[in-house]
Amino acid sequence: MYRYFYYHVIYVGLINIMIFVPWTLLQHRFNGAVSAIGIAIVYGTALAYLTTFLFSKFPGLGLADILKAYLPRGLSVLLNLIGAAIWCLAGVLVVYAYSTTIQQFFNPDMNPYLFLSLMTLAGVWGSSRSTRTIQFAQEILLLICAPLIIMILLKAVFSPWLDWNAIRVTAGYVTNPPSFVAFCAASFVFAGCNTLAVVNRLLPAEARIRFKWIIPIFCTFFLLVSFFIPIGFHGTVAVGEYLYVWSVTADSMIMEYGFVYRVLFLFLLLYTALSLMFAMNTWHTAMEFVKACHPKSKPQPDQYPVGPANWWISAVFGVLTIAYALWSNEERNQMVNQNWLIAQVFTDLLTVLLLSGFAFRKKRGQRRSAPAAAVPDSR
Amino acid sequence: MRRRTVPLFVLAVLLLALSGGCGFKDIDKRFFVVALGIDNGVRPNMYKVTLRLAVPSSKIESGKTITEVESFEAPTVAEAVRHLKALVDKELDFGHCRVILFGKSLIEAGMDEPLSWIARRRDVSSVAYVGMAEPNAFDVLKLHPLSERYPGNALMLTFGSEGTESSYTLTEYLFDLIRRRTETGKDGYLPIVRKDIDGNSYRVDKVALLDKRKLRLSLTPEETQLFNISAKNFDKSAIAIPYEGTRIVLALSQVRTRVSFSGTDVPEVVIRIRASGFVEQGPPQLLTTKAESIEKHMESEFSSQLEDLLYKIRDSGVDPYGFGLRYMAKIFGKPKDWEKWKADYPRVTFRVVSDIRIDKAGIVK
Repeated sequence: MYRYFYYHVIYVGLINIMIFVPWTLLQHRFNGAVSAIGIAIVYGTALAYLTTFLFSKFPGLGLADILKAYLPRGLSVLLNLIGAAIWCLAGVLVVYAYSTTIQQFFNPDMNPYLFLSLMTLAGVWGSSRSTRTIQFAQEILLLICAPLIIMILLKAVFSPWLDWNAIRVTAGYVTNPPSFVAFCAASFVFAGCNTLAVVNRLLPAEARIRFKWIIPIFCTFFLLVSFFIPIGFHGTVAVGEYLYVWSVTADSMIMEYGFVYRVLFLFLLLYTALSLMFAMNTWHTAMEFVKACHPKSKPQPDQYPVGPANWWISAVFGVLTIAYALWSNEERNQMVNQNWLIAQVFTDLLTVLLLSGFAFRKKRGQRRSAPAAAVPDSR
Repeated sequence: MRRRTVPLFVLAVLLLALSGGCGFKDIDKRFFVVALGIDNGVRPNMYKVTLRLAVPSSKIESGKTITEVESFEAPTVAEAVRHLKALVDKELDFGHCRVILFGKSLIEAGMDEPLSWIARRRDVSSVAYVGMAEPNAFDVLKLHPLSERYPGNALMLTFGSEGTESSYTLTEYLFDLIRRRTETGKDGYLPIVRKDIDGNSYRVDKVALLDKRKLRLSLTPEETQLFNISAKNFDKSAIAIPYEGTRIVLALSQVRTRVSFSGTDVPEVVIRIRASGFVEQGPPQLLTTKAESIEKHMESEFSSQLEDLLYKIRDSGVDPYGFGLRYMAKIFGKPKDWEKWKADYPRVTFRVVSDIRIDKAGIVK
């Protein structure tokens, strides 16, 4: 069962490219990105271990259910809404970033809202499914993408045109004091385990999450790759000038005997799947948070067919995406992205603090009421 | 169930209607640009843009490909390309443009503006091959090579490792050129593309070395090969050394170089190069009697040739090897180290330590 958990860790680690993590880090490459990456690796790993540990203390409960059980109603609703806002915005940002990338590289003459609305529709449909369905869809999508991901990453790392000297020069700036924004950006790569906020409902009580070393190893690898590979391909100076830095990096590789010789198109195809997956998951999580605000709501991870509430809430997220696209431009989008990256560090920290408080209270037997666990199937 | 199916169906139909607005053009209404050339215009401050366009044809036969060459002069490359659209009947598509040539006079004057246009265009592939055309890009692109099977593929096959792999031909990609133009301690180079004397094929056997702005030095074919071996570790090349009245040609099969620096105030660059290969041409009874003395002789000869080349390149004030970057990487350099290196570079000394080994003498003794 716990393999589903690692899918979340991996796709969140990979999606960082669409949420301007490499761009943010590369802007700070000479003033504190490298040391921030070092700190983020330690911090992110510690936080990930702590989060998984704490959620395992509340088997079968989502974050919203735990909040409901331990906090006064008003406070738990407030926290739920904050959670929903953060999660929903993540999906919005990725869908927007991906659709602008596609528009830029596939066909600039295209109506920019056309592709966006297609992506949004798919995201809305995906996220309104039940948690269980999403989990299965996720496995299939990630397994389809895996060969492509591995191929592009290995192709990049072993490319003879990759300049290790430039990477080494940049790594030498590790002595500069870390930059806060860069730290927030880098720690996002480790944020995958926070999806436990919803998927913990599906983990059976006896399931233990094993092989936790996967988190630091994979996420560190993704983080280092997404920061250093563009430097190796574009040099220490020119790399700061690209907006779509990873698309251009993928374009710097060539497949002589592939069907398409530009790796760029493969890369964009791959990120279609990853972005949709991310939107589906984040919106679903946000939706579950919103649903939990209703006093009579019950977690139903296996609901089929899904209730109308799912549709309506997801549709609102879809409308928000379009509205965001209407409002935003290159600059505003980057500003929102940076602030989102900073905000997610605080909400993750808050989650861990709250959960440790509850776990402590639970241990001392001070529960006010026995929380009604979503009974997982015997599957 | 029907209540839900009907709206979904309507939605799908609406989406189809939307796709009319996506600006897609059919493949038979597109003109694929297979090569792009940029020259200085006849009038001052003008650029002459030349496009080689593939005309689709059902015949796939050598020399039977049809391409159309169009050129136009305008104050910027962007304007020229916009204007060129009025000279053709189909939509221009740069997605398959795999060769970009810059005219010699353009590179001598500086090519910042054309490069900025290329870097901004999303559809020009970053893995396009770049080169310097001599005397100008228009003349080279007008050439119609006899061996061409697909429009424009003769020039594509010249570079890279798909077709011929010559040690005289250097390959340079667009993204690498852009990187080298701003990188600290690494300067650009461009292979020089000329028409062959008989006018039916291309000739790419020299290299032009650039500083951050313009052309500084052109190497001879022999120097180009030496540069390709030592800077790019190109291992399908040959070293020819005079020996006791004859010449020995060693076809290399493996080349490794390592660059290190002495700790002295003005650093000495030590290049250790290990090459091994087999003899293609040489005196009889080569391995049995004098293999070792031949190796020694080749090493000293090769080292002195390479040292001469390195000093020549250093004296023209460029660093296509990336010694500066390598130095910075070695010492984890900061901006002040870079300033020091820049000041020291005209005075650095080179020492080449070569280790040449003859693996085989061909299939005779």
